[in-house]
Amino acid sequence: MRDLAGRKLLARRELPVILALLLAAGGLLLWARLAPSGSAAVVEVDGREVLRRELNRLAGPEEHAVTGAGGLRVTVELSPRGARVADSGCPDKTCVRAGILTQAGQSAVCLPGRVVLRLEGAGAADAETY
Amino acid sequence: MTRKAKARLLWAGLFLLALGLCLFWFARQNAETSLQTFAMGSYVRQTAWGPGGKAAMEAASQAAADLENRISWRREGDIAKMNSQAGGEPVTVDESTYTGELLEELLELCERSGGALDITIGPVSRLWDFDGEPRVPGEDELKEALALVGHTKLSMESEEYMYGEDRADGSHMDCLGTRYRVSLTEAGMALDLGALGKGAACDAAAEAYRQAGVRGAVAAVGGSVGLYGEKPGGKAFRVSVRDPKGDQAGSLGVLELPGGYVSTSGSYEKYFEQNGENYHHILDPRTGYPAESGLVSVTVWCPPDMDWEWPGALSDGLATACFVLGLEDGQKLLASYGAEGIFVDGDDAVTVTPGLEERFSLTAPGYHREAGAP
Repeated sequence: MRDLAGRKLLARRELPVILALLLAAGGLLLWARLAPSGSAAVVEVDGREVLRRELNRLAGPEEHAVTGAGGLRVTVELSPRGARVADSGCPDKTCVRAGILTQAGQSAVCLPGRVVLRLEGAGAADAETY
Repeated sequence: MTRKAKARLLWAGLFLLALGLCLFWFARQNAETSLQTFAMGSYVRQTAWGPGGKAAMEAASQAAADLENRISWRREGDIAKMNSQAGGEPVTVDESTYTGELLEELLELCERSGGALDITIGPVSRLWDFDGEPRVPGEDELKEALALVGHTKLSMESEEYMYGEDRADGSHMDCLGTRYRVSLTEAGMALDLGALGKGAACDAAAEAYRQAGVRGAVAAVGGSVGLYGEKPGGKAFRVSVRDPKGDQAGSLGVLELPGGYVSTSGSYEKYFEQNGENYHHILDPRTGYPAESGLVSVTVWCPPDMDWEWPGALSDGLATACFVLGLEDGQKLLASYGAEGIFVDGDDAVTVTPGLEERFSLTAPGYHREAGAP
């Protein structure tokens, strides 16, 4: 390969190294795009993230209790198959009724406690209408 | 090191620097940031792309909070004042709050929906108290409250006026504005904008994004969604529609949209049980009871090119009105506004209006899709 002044930019013996580097970069890019990325369960209290767990890295179900606005206790259950609000001290239990979240983008909201459980991950929609 | 080797090293260094700068610029242009807050009694989740996203979302949060103070009957803003002066002196609102122009557009929606949406439903909604301790009101008290409902009893007079505005560069500008004198003509009447507050907050957020000059952003205020600008790469915005079946948080399908506003009204969202019967929160202003139109969910999309000052509020109000009206009249109402919709009925039929036919993918099992009226 020669530059405009006719000088050699790359020696012939360096080409295999450059090719190998390009192949490695391409492979990494492909892997990053195609590798399955698991969902992460995120718990927020009043808009602040207080817990984050990669669901596919959990060995089994685990429970976490968080304290929301007004001292309201909300218990979330996380497992490799999804996440749900298992119990809440709020009167309407809308968050509990949301059931198990299994897809990225889904959320369960406890408005009185300002506690949100949501799933993040690849393929999630930009927003949900309900 | 030979001269040739030095030149090669220099070229390689320059190449890497240029590549790094390109990557940095690209990452900055497409950087995604998000912000979670609460407003309008709802969870608000915003996502923005590009430089200035965080500041734009913070401004949008503030705008939504300010709007809530003005239009929530629970606060002490314009609407609360109108309610407290019902049957008495009118309340004057001007350009500083935009409440007047919002009410003007909403009154038109009340009229065009034949009262299926009525922003004077306050006396009835307070009896049901869905956000507090819900109960089925007695027949007599409901009849009494229903007599106070009627958008035609809301009086609005407007006049144009000049006002001055100081610009950021220190100059002064004379502007022409509209001043409204609003009164609820009978004592006991009450405005309740709960059916469209979330959509209106999306409008406020979009205006904040515009002023901040952000490239693209999404504001989800509860279940109302505002889609502003464009996503990196010009990709369509993807909005998941909640599956109305049961209490699960599953998805009915996904909308792929170029922008605009999306709102949904569903009987599954808020309800209570009394004496073995379920009562949902979407009230028919004509009967005072939860609407029974055969529908379980209506999703409305107001496209980005609609000529309305408050298209987010319109999408929210239309969703409620269409739920009350039912499939046939609901579609007619949407068509009159140039809006589109997805109607789900109790027999699992999903009717999609023509403008969303190509944009909506039904993914939930157990439903059958039907074409909407042309």
